[in-house]
Amino acid sequence: MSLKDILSPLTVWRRTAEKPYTVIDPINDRPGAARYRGFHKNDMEACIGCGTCETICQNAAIDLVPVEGIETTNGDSGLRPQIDYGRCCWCALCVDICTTSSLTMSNEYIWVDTDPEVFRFVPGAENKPWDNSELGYSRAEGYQLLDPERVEMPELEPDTRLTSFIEMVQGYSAEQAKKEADRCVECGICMAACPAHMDIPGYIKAIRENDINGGLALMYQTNPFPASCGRICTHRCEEVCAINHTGDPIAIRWLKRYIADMADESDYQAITKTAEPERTEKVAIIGAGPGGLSAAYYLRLLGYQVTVFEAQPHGGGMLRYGIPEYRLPYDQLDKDIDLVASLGVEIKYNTRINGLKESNGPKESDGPGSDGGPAPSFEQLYQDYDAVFFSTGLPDPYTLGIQGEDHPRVISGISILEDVTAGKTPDLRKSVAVVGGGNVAMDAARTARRMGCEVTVLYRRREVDMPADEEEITEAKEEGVKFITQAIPVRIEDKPEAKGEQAAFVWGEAEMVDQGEDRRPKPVLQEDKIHTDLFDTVVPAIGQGSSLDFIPEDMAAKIGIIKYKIKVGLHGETGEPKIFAGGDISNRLKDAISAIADGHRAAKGIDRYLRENQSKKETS
Amino acid sequence: MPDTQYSEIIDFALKREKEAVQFYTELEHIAQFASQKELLGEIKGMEQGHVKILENLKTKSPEAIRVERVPNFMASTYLVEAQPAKDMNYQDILIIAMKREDRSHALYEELLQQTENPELRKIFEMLAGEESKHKRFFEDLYDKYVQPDN
Ligand SMILES: Cc1cc2nc3c(=O)[nH]c(=O)nc-3n(C[C@H](O)[C@H](O)[C@H](O)COP(=O)(O)OP(=O)(O)OC[C@H]3O[C@@H](n4cnc5c(N)ncnc54)[C@H](O)[C@@H]3O)c2cc1C
Ligand code: SF4
Ligand code: SF4
Repeated sequence: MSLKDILSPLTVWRRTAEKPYTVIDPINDRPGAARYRGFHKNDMEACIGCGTCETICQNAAIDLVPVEGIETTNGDSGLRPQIDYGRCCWCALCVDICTTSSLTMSNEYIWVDTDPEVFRFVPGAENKPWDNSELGYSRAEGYQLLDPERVEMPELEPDTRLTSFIEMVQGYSAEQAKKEADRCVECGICMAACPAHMDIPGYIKAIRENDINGGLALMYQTNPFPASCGRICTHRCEEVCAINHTGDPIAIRWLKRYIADMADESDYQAITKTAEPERTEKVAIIGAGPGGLSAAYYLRLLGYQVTVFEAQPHGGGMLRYGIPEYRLPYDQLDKDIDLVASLGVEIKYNTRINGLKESNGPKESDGPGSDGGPAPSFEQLYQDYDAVFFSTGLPDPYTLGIQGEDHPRVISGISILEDVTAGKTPDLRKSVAVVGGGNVAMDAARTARRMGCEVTVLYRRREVDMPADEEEITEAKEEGVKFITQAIPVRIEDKPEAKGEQAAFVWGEAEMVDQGEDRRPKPVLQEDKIHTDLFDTVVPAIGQGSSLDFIPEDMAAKIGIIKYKIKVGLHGETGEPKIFAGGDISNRLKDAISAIADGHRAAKGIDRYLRENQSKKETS
Repeated sequence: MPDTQYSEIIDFALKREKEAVQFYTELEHIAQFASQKELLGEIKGMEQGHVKILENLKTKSPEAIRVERVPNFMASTYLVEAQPAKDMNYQDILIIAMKREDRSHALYEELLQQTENPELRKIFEMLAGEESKHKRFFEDLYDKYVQPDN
């Protein structure tokens, strides 16, 4: 036995007199470092359930799960991340990528429990001791895994824009589109906000993978107007885009346009063709606007024999006769319409359906191109076709309703835009007042600027209340349109010295009265603050109504009209089983994509109705 | 206040509401299209509702009357009276309705100014309040559907 063997036990015994090495109260005695990556915290209000944290997690430690009390809303999936600490490696990639910065980590890392199940929980949904801890890991200021900045869209300078009606937005190059597409996290939050529920992450991915035709095919699954929507869509999707929470939203609309611009027109038909067999049933569609043509497209794909009746000499509805060419060039709109027609949809232009029982010819105002044949009545269509869909829009401009509005120098915004489309020059002269704050007002104002007028927009409420797209307002300002807000129209006078050549527009200043959350404030006229300004032309652009005179009374009672709008079901069903409707005459949002979605849903409704009819016939 | 005076005033208001029902019935006959008739029918239904409310008031004591006032935003003050015509549109019909309510409201306000009797004042205030509520209803529709862009 060596001397060491004899002495060792004594050395061990000596330790008993020393300070212990074990930590008796580890939680208090060994706190995590200030930026330690411990258990997660999540701000449940800020989180939108986009699932980006789940996607990035390399250990599959995160699942998005429903949580009691959290509802699915526009821009929020209603799900929240649940973390499995048996898998989590505390890398904090999830925190670094979180699109809303809602996800952080406390510096707490010790938690003792005998039940392994409790180590899988939804941070923020269940109370945890570290929920209020200030310390821990969060993304440092300015540190971003995601690119918060949108690729700027090349646009013409305001001075150049004013010289013609040339398109102002020039489109992304391949490199720019890919860079922008790279910013998308493919969460799909945007899809629910899109009225047509387009597969947005899908076609953005197609751009990244340089699969233009694949992207186009995806778009056509829910929207046969990609070239038009890629330019003028109200892009509700972008408002809810996950990236919008900490940066610029993905330029979804411009990426859609990129695909439509890049796809070769000769490929279009092959991309969108289906193998559905021909069917014998005939469907009549009234109105070749986006609603009518969308229904026509999807019905034709299902094999039906489709005829569209359109009062105007060209298709597109308000996309052509309302939206000016500098926002949506006619050849781009035609590209969308031509594809629908090329599938075998017959479009009868210059054919206004009317409410009369007997046929009548096209109106003289319907322009050239008329075949001179008689236009059928609504009743005739009802009898001759197996189903009827109508999407006739809101063509009738409302007036200001004030005294003196019959002045010869008052011209409605819609008629100016329609004239310009028809190649006529509206008689605007020099100084123009446009009354209203919606897209029609902006389009009329900017059209007038392109015709060399000095333009003032007068609006009853504040600029923030304007229903026009923010970018339209900005662009109008860039182009030199002046804005007077909180201006209530009072009357229009004819000054004797102006002899009907100028209109004196009398307006009063408005005081805004708050109406509570989610309601527009009420402008109240201050009768002691009245102004009078002379203009060469006054252009009302405050709203439009439907014209449903083509529906005979007995039929209308069955169809169901409420407040001059058509009451429809989810698939455009009216009270009369054979008749379907959609677009601006029935929906709330009144934009192109909603009309397109209505047309698509109605096509499904009509298909179901006709198939049910067929099986009834077969069984009887 | 003598009971007879109370019921006379309610009868007066009732007569006006019944006239309104009659007015919208006549408009329905003038109207040419189903969309016009539908809206006129809806407004007529509302006026019939007002008749019912007033009839119920007759059985109540004046003390039970509740006065509700709605601020006047003057949204229809400067609108030009629309004429009943067979091609009236949504805007025309709403203007007709707003102007009618406006006139009734002005009448009760006038009667209110002319009396010192606190109980009578309360009834006129109630009736003026009711009319301004009806007017406000149409003004809101006008704001939302006729001038959404203004
Ligand atoms: C100036 C202006 C700017 C706009 N800007 C935008 C924008 O930037 N983005 C956006 O998304 N939306 C915009 N909109 C709204 C958009 O144009 C409409 O929501 C969309 O066109 C509605 O489609 P629809 O099919 O319901 O009707 P419409 O497009 O109005 O089409 C209806 C068609 O039916 C035809 N018709 C009507 N009655 C008959 C009849 N009796 N017989 C035969 N044919 C008939 C009409 O001639 C018309 O072609 C704008 C509208 C206007 C007026
Ligand atoms: S990434 Fe952020 S916002 Fe999205 S689900 Fe995860 S925690 Fe919520
Ligand atoms: S566009 Fe925005 S919301 Fe849509 S999938 Fe991409 S990141 Fe998500």
